[in-house]
Amino acid sequence: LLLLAASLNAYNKEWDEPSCTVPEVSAKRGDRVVMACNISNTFRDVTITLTAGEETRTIFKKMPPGNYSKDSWQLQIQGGQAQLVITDAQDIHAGEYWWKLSGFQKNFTNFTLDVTGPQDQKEAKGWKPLMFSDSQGLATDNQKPESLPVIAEPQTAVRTKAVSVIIIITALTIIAGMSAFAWYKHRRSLKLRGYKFQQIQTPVPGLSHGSPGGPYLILP
Amino acid sequence: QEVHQSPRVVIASEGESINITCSTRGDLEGLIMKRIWPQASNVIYFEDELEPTVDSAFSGRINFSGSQKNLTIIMSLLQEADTGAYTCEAVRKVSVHGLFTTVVVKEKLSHEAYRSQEPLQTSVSLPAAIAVSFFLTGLILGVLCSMLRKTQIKKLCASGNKDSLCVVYEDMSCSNRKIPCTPNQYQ
Repeated sequence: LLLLAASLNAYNKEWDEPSCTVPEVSAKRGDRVVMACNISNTFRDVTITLTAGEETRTIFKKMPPGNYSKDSWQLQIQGGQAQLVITDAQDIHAGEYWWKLSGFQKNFTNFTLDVTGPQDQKEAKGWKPLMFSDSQGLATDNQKPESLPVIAEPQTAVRTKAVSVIIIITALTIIAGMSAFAWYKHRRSLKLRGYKFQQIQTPVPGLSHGSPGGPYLILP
Repeated sequence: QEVHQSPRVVIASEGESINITCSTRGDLEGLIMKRIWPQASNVIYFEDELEPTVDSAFSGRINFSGSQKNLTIIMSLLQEADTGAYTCEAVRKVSVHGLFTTVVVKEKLSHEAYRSQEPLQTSVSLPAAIAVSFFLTGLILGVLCSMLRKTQIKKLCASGNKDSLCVVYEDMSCSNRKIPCTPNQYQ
């Protein structure tokens, strides 16, 4: 019983269920920007990379729970909460942030930061407030299955269909055979008729027409 | 497809076991198998050198063999509720999933229930066999009738040919002097 209980408990049963702030962030230069993700379990580590154009740089790599700082980026991880704070947003901070969240499972999520200058004050009025939103689940998969699967029929139904198919094939084969036979007979009869017609037209040797004056019998 | 999954369809009875194999190419952080039909849910998560995750619905009924790049998932003690479509997904920045595996779990029939079902199967096949037999018999009779009719036609033609050869010629001439003409007594 102990071994059975141990084997039953060998695997995790909890899913991380990540939820993060809105994926698109817009800020003006000098602002303080916050990106955050939560999971239902405890973080093992968090990795954050920044991709700007064709260049990708690692901001934080496999950070366990705690507080970390690098240039203007500050990462705080506690329990199931992770928060990235940019204290003074500049152009170098703009780009796509990829987060790899490691709890009981690994999940990926991304944020896009757009930094605008002072001359874009009109656009800054329309930037969205930060709020949490549920992600798509593990690995942020938006792809849908190509089509719903077709459930296979039980064995009895499969056999019945097989028998039906066999019957239909047999019937069609017989009908085709009958048609071919009838066609053959028809063609043969046509040939025979042609032969008989020729035979009638051809004079039969030894046979001659009767002539007046020959031997004859007077009918009563 | 970067994720290859097999088999495509598997049919099993309650209490039996099945294997689903997922193979991937390229780097991946882990492998997750999801149930996409009839309801979407996670089934397992597997990552090398890490304790796997098994959903509570399958607790105690799943084992693993291989690595995250070539993983065989063994589902045992199947239940009817396990019927559905399962797909493997490679965990990476841009996730990739393979095709799906359709799993059909049939109700396990007891010995007595199986006996009662045998007559049903027999009764289904018996009418079919009878129908086929009657159909074939009808076709054979049709062939025979057509052949007999053909024979009769041949005989009629043959008799017609013979009659055409029996020609009787009657001389109606009165020019012959040897025999005098007699008046027609019926006039």
